[in-house]
Amino acid sequence: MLKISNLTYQFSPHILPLFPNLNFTLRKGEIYALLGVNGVGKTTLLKIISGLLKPSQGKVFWHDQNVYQSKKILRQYRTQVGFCLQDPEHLFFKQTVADELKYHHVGNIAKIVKQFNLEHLLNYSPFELSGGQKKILQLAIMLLKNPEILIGDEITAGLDAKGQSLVAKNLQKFKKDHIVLLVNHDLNQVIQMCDNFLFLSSEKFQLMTLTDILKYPDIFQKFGLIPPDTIKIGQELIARGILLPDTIYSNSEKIAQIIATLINQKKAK
Amino acid sequence: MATPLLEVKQLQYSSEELIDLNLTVKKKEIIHQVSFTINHHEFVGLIGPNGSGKTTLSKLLTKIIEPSNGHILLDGVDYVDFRPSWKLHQEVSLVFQQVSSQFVGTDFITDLTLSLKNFGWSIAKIENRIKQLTKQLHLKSLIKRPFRELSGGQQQLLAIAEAIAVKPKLLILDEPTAQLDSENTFLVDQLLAKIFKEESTSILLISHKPIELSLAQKLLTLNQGTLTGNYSTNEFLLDSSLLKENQLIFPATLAIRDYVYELTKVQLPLVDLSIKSLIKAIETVLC
Repeated sequence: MLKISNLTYQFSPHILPLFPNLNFTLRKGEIYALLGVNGVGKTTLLKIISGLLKPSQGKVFWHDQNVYQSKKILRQYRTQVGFCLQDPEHLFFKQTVADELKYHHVGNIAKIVKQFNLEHLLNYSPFELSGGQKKILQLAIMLLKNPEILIGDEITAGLDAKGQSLVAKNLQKFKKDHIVLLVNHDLNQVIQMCDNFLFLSSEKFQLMTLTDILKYPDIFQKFGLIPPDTIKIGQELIARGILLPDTIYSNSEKIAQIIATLINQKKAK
Repeated sequence: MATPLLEVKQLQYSSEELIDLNLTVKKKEIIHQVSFTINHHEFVGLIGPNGSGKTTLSKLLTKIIEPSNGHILLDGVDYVDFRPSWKLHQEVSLVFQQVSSQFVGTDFITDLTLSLKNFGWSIAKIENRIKQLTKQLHLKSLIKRPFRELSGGQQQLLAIAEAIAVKPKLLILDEPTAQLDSENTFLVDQLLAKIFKEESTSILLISHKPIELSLAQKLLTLNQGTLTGNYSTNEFLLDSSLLKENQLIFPATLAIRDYVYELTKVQLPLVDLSIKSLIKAIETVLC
């Protein structure tokens, strides 16, 4: 359990804090999405949570211990956090993809290679991979290290459909015994992939489950965000009296099923 | 027939990697025999799965790297004969996928001033252009702040502003909104539409996002370094099998149309990928 208590950050004493005092708890078995407009401080918050940046105020508790209490505790904590950067290139330094994987893991890498379809890339230099392939490699390395807490900053940005579903599949598996926290701008994907949502703005903060946001879709607009397409479609159809209010339309399939039922009813008449 | 703005003929590129000190090199062909044209004031989308060579192609088109074989012509002039050669970087401007590699200066004003000075612009002309751009793109709050204080998304908006600043004939954007949230993606897409409407620039947009690609007039598909198709935009974007084949992120509107068809054999008549079009189609079918 990771507990954030009374936390905030100021770039300098003259600038207002980035976000309000934050209090929340992250648990194993869940994928959390951190949502907010660009520049609200999502990356900064990820850095604080992962032990890379000391907060101006407040504490980060891991197993009831403040991770910023001493250098020793902080070092120990960092070994349990896997951080996937927005720009994965900063992580790489070996000559081949295979060496890169072996460096981070003593033992068999065959399983992870298969899991992420890396077979045909093993002899390439990590630096000559495409942007999307670099992101996949970074995640593979992080999962090999098996961290207690996995943090990802835009790990699916720029991935094609296949890459995105590969990442989603692997995270679903990984989350069972771990905490996963993601920043992801593609809200259509976020609501397919995540279980809990941390909404952040400079004035307010709210933690919601998937059911919560389907019930209160206005939450996106409240935080300056454009809602995911399926939510927008649901809202439009409710407004036109085609779908019933107070019903939860979580994905395209559900919406399509109801439309199909309506079409079939019309046909029967 | 008028000369196209950009003509790519039988383009080929192999990367070379130095294996040992005997100068043994390993060659790998990344782009094979690619040919296409972009006309004056044309908006073209480029699609391809991860690792298909999209970024390499955009580097070739901006002469960051040189082809192993083949030719690229701008207004009928071969890139290798282009004089003065620096002028090419003004005529063809690129926005990178990784924004951080784009900036040299510490903030927008410094960085853009530096780059425009290199192209021989006077200080007065530069100041004027910055003022104009800032207003057009609503960037006032960002231009004086150091890049390191800005978020990835904010940096991307500035990178696009810089690329437009030199008034290029061809603007190439390599997944410009991959790192942006939907709000800024919307701003960037609106901006691209505006630029295309108001200026004479041609645009080559590389993207995985169908909605964004709908701005283009035609779409090229690249797969494993080979050009595999040339489509009109709507024909491509409304065709589920083409989207899947090219690993595009599947839009919710199309997913709903396809599920409904599976369940009822009734085809919702979408005219484009917008939510508006879906709602209208549903109303038409139900009323």
